[in-house]
Amino acid sequence: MPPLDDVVALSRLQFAATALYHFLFVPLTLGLAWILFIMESVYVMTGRQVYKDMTQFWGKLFGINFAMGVTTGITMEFQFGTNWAYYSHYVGDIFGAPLAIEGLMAFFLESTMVGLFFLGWNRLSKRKHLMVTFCVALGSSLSALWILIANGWMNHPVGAAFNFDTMRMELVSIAEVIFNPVAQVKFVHTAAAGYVTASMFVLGISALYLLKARDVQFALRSFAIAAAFGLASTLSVIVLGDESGYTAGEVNKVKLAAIEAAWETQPAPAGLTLFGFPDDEQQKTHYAVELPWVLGLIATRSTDGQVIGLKELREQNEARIRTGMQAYAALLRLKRGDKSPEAKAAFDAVKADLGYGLLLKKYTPNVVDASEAQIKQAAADTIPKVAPLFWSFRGMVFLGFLFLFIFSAAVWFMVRRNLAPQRWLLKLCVIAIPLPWVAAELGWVVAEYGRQPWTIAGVLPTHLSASSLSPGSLWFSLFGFLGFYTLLLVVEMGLMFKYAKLGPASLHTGRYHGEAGSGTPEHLAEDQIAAV
Amino acid sequence: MHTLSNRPSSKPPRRERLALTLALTIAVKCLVLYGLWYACFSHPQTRHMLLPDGQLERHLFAAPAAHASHNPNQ
Repeated sequence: MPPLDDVVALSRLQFAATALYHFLFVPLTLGLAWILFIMESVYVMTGRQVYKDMTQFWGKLFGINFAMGVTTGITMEFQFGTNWAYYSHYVGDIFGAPLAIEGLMAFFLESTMVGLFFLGWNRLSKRKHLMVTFCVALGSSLSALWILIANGWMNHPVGAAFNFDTMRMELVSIAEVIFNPVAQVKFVHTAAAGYVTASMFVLGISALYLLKARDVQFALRSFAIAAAFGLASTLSVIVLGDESGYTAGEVNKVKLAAIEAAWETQPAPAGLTLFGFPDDEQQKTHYAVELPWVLGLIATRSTDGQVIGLKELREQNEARIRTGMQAYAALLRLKRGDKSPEAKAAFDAVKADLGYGLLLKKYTPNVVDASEAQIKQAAADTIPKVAPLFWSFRGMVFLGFLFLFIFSAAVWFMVRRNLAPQRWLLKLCVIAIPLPWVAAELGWVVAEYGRQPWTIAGVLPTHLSASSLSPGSLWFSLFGFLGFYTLLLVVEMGLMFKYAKLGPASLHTGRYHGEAGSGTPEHLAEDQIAAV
Repeated sequence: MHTLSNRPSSKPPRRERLALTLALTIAVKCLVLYGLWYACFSHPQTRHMLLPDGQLERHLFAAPAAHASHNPNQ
């Protein structure tokens, strides 16, 4: 809980809350769109009605999620200008383009295509409708791409330079921003996590139908597609998560060291702390269970690359803070009107560390004469709290491997046509439905909390990014968002439960469970499931 | 494809009820978002991601420490 009157903490809490709520809706849209495309592709190729029914039924659940989720992200853009004015000004030249493109993608391509998906069944040919479904899937993934390019830039600001005249970061290379390795890895990791979420959603609901021996052929086909897509997606998430760790080792060393509770720089290759209790006060991990070599191999892809520990990183950051003080002084000289080549050269020589100098603004208005104690404190601030990162990361990874087990087992028993006796697996699939959301939210905690104390890594500290607002207005809007988003979530859950319970009978084709003339008595359904 | 549209009922068909619910939700959502924007976010300090001239300079160069109570010298 932040202090009641801390504007920066309240602004962070509001942004985190809206982002985490928004991301409850996003991953299902991301993944379910591609599952719909797969189902409809099979329908177009085989002409079998059940695949059209699958596309329409799961499309209905997609529609519910889309309707509840659309525009929940726009509230974050409200906050940029109002709550994060200094941040917005500082990075607007870079941030504006990806956000605008994302808006165009989300509101024009994606929303238009979603409309066509629902209204076009009787108006478009099979192939044209399939293309629409493809565009829905592509549009949702492209929306995510642009947001994650913006987010990736916050973690690794490339392709931009600080202009002391405008006091902004200005775009130097759009290609560098787009092909930022952090953004690319983040995009594929996040998108694949969305695919896992949707796969588990379809798998779990299909498993529920199988457990109840209803709509068996429908459920089996849905289960098979979700299991195969989910297995491929989970493997992608794990491989890309490993790539993300490697990228973090290259450009976000503090985040990596904090995630791994690597207090000291170990001889290469460093061991990985599998389990333990990190203690930020004592800077050690109690009861640590270590796997030798593993961290060094994952983070550096070599046997001789070092993973630098937090203590050493703090010393390095302290040195950068001292250089940052010089950068601040040089910038002050320029802003006071001395635009001589010497003044510019003096600033250019140290401007890379200006952000580190700005960390001192938390403690003194006069950065240039900060005391030793203030410098030490600012250096300590460059290390985020280890325990939340350590545990969030392990929770996410544990869930990732649990999903791998579930999808692997599902595919294994499907291929061996031995699914029916595995009621434990079917029950596990149902229980696991919410877990990908938990993993995704933990992933965002790792990504964003691990970036602290920066909004733009190494460039702009969080405490200088927030606007000068009154705590009262922040509390008001925070409760407004939380109340509103909670209501949306309740409506979504209510509709999802209702239509999942109805199942494909909600299509009113007369072929499914509970419909007059569906003609599949329970004992026949049980025979069907027993056959697989 | 069978639909419920031929059944005698005062309620709209279930499929249409869902569409109606979703349309209503989106409409209410837009209204609430507009209300929140109007109440809390309609007067941002930045316009088109730009602060008024000199405001960032004042923030960076002249503003007092935001967290003086955390000052390790105190």
